[in-house]
Amino acid sequence: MSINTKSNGSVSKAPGSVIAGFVTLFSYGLLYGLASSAPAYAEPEADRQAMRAHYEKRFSGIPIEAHKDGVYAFDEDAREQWLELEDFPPYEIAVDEGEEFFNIPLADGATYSDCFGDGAIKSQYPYFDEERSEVITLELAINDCRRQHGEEPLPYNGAEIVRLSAYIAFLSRGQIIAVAEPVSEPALAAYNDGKRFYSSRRGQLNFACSSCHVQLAGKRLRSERLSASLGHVSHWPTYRLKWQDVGSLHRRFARCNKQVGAEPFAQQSPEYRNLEYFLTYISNGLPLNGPAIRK
Amino acid sequence: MNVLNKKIPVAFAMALTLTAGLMLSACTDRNTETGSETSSKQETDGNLDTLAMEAVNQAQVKYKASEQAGYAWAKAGTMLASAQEALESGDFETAIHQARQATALADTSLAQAEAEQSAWLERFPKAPTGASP
Ligand code: HEC
Repeated sequence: MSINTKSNGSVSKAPGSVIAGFVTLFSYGLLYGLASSAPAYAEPEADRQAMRAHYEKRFSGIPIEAHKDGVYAFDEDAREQWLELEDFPPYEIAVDEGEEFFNIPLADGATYSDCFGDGAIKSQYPYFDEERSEVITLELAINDCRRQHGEEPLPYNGAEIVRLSAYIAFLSRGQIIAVAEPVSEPALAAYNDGKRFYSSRRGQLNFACSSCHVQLAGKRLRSERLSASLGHVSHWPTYRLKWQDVGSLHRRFARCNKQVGAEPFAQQSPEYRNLEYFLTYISNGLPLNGPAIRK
Repeated sequence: MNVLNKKIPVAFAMALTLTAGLMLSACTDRNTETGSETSSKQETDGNLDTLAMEAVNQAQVKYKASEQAGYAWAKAGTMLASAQEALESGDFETAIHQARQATALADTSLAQAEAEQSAWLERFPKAPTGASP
């Protein structure tokens, strides 16, 4: 079988004993950077700072906040074309349709504003709900609201929910991402699950999200420059020219899973919600700027 | 090798893709052999259909396991689907061949899942020591 997976596999099989584990790690020469840290997980805030430091170094001269615009933060040519597209933004129709949906009364006569006030609430999501012990995204909250008011939930890959969230994203522009630091054990578990997903190699190409968006960020992959993960969550839903429509963040996750040959997960699956939770936490401090346009 | 792989994902990926590729071609060779073996078997005991069914079942089990681990590979899924189709249409040799390819792919993805249990921990950027946040 594969040399690589096998050699890593034996690391993963390091015995439960901490000492034996460390000996194994030393023997593989892997123990850089964590010599003194017994816990396997860094604190979320340390992760966030580490990510910021990584991108500051990698993209020197580019403020972290600029990564809300993805590759357009550093790819000059692409940026110009993109700015031209913004003159007549193709997501505008979706925002208008979202507004209409937002104001249609639900089964019991309530409207979405009974759940979401004026709709400028995107920065409240995602969050970890301690009672339900799961990550609540905006999309999940939209369907919760519908159920509360006697409606069937919307399919997460359908047109209506993405338009509703486009409208809410539009109203929430300029809000600052400020996910509360995960503290309770279940919240930390969800955060670490997202972090693990993000850092794990998947698919036949054996790439992790971080392979492309951390280690190779700024480099070219075929015809495309690779964006930084900070800012990945700031601008959804996004109108993709390739999709000829607005699509959700989870749809983009699925796309990135597929392109390395991995089976994607369902939109709003626990895996993708935890991933969104992790990515949004480390993007704390960046402004929301959805909906956006991307190739 | 190991450390290199940690640091150069592209090289790592290429290596894995290569090994997967080699494995596949090895599998193809094996299958050709098994194929002819089984053809002659079929002539004697006519159990090619059973073998095909077994091969498809095994691929199914392996693919399910990789799905449960959250590491399913798309190629393993499509290969399994075409093996199932071949089985249904009575093309047992193709079914065996494709089912074995699907199994090999699912096996590699399970090895990946196993390796990633701990390998991912090394991959996240570390805060620069002594840096003030
Ligand atoms: C093989 C390389 C590769 C891997 C692995 C990969 N991506 Fe991507 N991703 C891309 C490319 C190429 C694009 C489009 C250009 C860009 O924005 O970086 C992209 C775009 C994105 C975007 C949209 C960026 C924006 O500005 O709108 C998000 C979000 C994203 N990826 C998340 C992920 C996540 C999460 C993972 C892991 C599940 C992942 N990617 C894995 C290559 C990759």
